[in-house]
Amino acid sequence: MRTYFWKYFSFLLLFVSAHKVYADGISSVRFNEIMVNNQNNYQDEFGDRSAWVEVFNSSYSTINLGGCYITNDPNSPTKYRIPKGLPNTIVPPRSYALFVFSGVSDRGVFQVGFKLDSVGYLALYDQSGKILIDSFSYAYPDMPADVSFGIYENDKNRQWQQMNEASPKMVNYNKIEKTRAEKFYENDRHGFVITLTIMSVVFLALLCLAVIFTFTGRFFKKQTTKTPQPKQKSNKQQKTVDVVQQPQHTTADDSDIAAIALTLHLYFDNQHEVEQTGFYLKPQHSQSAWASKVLNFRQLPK
Amino acid sequence: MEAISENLQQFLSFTGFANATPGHLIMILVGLIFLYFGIAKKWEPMLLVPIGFGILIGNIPFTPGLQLGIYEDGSVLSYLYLGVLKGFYPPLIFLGIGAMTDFSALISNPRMMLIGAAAQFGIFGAYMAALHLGFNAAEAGAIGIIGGADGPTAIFLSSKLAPDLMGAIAVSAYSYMALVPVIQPPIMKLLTTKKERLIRMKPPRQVSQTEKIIFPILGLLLTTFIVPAGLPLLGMLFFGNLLKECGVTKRLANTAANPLIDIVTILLGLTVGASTQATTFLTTKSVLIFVLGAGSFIVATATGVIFVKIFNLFLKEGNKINPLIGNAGVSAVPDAARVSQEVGSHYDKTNFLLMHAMAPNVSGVIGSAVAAGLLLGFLA
Repeated sequence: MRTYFWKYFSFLLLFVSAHKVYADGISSVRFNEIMVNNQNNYQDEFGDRSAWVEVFNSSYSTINLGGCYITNDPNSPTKYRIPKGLPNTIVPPRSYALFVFSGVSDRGVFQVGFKLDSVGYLALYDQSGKILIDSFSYAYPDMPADVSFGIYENDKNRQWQQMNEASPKMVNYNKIEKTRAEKFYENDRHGFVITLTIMSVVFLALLCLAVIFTFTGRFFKKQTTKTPQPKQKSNKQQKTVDVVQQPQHTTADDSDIAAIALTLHLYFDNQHEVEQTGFYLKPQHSQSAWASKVLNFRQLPK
Repeated sequence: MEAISENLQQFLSFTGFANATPGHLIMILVGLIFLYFGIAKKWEPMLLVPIGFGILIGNIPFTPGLQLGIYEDGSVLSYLYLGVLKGFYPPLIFLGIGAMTDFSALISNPRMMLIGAAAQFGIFGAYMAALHLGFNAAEAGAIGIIGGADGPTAIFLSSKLAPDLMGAIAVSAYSYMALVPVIQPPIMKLLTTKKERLIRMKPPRQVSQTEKIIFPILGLLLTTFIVPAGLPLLGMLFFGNLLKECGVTKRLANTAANPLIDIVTILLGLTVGASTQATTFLTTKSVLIFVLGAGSFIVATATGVIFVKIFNLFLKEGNKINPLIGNAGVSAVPDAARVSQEVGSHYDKTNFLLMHAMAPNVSGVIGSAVAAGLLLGFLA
């Protein structure tokens, strides 16, 4: 008795979960946008422009449309069968597939073998041809060219309405929604608010930096007064680099500092001539840094 | 014989002579003027020469559809232009700038950072004026950044906010940066008294290596925590500076400060110049952008100088700042600082302002990047 219970229970569980998977899968597909009078809009791979319908996989799982049916006749649910076993019938999560109603049936998966009228009905049936996945009726007798109808991505009521811009295989984005800059402009037509806000933040950011470096500066100033000056190395190259740090220059006046700055500037611009007197900044190695083993090899700690 | 004549006629129809318009000729003239200023006058030659030559390249008349022009899909120039369009050249330039910049003057005198902030008013002067002239908010933000006097930042922001105006904004920004020695001195002289121009400032203290290493790290953390939208520019700027200062990545710093920035500058200058095709560039909007750009530079210079004068009211005698370094708050490094030095030395030959002016100058780079990040956050 107990074994039977678990058997039936497992079967029931399997059935429910299978149904759940099915519900999350093919039933999440819905018609999303339609254009019946296509003059200059979507061009198929054969260069033709026909009426088209966009289908949206609203789920977060991949679904396969292979074997499903599209029809414009309620009495004939299996009017056009989407070919099965082809990789391009797989629609990734939150993605789109576009069916073109060219009336030619031998042009591939997405070329439906009948044409759309300006007034009609469209339905999508599952692989059995019996379970209706989605359907809608439409009537656009005086539809201007290249205008599409659809459901906006952010429309909770899922209302079919005229789109601002046709968007085959793309999100139906409501462009009437204002951009951030437009919204900002509405509240600040003269730019005073943005000026005050941004200038305050710029000042705040740089003030924070200034405060922090004032304190760190004081800290390091104290540190340098505490620590004794290290002995100067005899190496010529070292001497050239440390020339600004030598004690006699720390109390130099403005003209000395300017002279050193100018010399360094000329040196780094490779304009400084070799001088026989005064201080000489040219490094001793003539090779480039790329070719120098001494500069390239990492020195191991002793 | 007829076939040859037909072929020749067809060939002639493809030449620049057959396709030239007055617009092309005007832009070629503009390019030649840029080259003249860059080569003969030596005004920002690193920028004006590539941009000027780029203008020539962009305005050679041709028959559309041959995948030649910068706006034609698949052309070589369009691929090079991607760095401008997608905004990845400016952060690379900032990496190089960081690796070249010595922040010692700023670290030794941190209060100078506020001058760099004050000069950003130029951005918003142009922003407000642009709004009144009928530009939308995003376009006005992109135009305003010309006042930051920072070419890469202007390109970065305009590529995000107003890609259609990017050519005019970039050319305007770089033109006025080259004209800093012409624009700034009259404003500086107008807003200062002779006594103020003679103020001598204390020599900056010596900055330790540890402080120089800490600066880019703390600078990055602080500024980008406040303005995350400025991360591409600020991140690269401070990273480049860390490469320079840490002392263990000399090769990387050398590459960033020399070959890398040179390559990117060539590509950036050339493609920005080439983007000024007569058909897209010669519009009323471009003229307005040039006028607004000039205005923003003037406002930026003036607010920098005025801010120092106000700041001096709160400082003790002996600690006062020479207002002639206020102009350096715009981030045209190092030209604006050189202008401070030149104007200052005109009144007192022994007063060396260059090192002091470098502090607000590099602070202006940080300030304009922060302002650009904020504009991006608000308007993108």
